[in-house]
Amino acid sequence: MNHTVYVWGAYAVAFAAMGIEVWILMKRKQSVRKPKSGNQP
Amino acid sequence: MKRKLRNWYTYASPVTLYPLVNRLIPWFAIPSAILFAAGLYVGFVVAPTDFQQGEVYRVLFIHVPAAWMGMLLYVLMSVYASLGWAYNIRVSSMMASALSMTGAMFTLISLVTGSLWGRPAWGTWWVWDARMTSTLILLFLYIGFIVLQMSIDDPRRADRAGALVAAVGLINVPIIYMSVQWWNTLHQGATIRIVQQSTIAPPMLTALLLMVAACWLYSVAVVLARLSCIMTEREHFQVAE
Repeated sequence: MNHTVYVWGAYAVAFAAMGIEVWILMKRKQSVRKPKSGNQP
Repeated sequence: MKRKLRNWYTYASPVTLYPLVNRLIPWFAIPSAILFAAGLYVGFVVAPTDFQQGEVYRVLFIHVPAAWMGMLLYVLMSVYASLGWAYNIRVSSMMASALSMTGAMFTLISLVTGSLWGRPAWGTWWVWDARMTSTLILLFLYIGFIVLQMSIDDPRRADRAGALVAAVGLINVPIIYMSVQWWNTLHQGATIRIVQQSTIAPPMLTALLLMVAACWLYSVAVVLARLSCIMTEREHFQVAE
C-alpha cells in the first residue's frame, strides 16, 4: 500500500481539527457578540 | 521598575486585559498561517525523502509539534489554574480554561498522527508503550479538566476543582518526556537535543522548527480568542460590533 496515504491522512486530521476549533471559536464569538449599544469594557 | 510592575498588574483585571487580548489575536494568527505555509513547503518540497522510512517520516512534521504543544499547554494550564486558585486571580483561571481545549486538541492530534505513522513504520496502529500510554493519560486529564469545569455551574467552584485536577496531573508531563529513557519503549528517543547535536538533517530540522513555531503561534491566537469569549461570558461585557 502506498504510504503517502498515511501522510495525507495525518495532515488532513490535524488541519481538520484546527479548522473545526477555529470554526467553533468563531461561532462562539458571534454568539457572545451583542448589539452596538453596549459599552466596551 | 515599580511603575512597570504596577502596569503589568493592571492586566490581571479582565476589564483592562480584554481590549489587549482582542488587539493581539491577529498578530499571532497571521504569522501562524504564514509559518504553516512555509513549514509545509519546506517539509514537503525542500526536505528530502528519508532513506529508511521513505515519505512516511513527513508525518513527524505535524506529530512532533502537536505532541510538544500538548505537553507545554498542559504545563501552562496547570500553572495558570494553580495561580488562579492560590491568589484568587480570575483571569488566571479563565486562561487555564482557554488553554485546556487547545491542549486537548493537540494531544489528540499527536495520538492520531502518531498512530498513522506507527502503522507503516512499526506495523501497528497502537501499542501500550510507556510514551503512548502516558500521552493517552494526558488526553484523559485534559478531558477530565474540561468535563469537570463544564459540570459545575458556579465558575469559581469550577475553577478550584479544575485547578486540583490540573495540578495533580502535572506529574504526568515529566513522565511523558522521560518515558523513552526510563522504560524500554517502542517509541524512538529524542532526535532534537539542546545540549548535544541533533540527529536530524538540516532541511528536516528547519521544517520541524517552522511547524513548531506555527503551532505555537496558532495556539496563542486561539487561546486568546477563547479567553476573549470566556471573559465576555463570565464578566457579561457588552461587545460592540
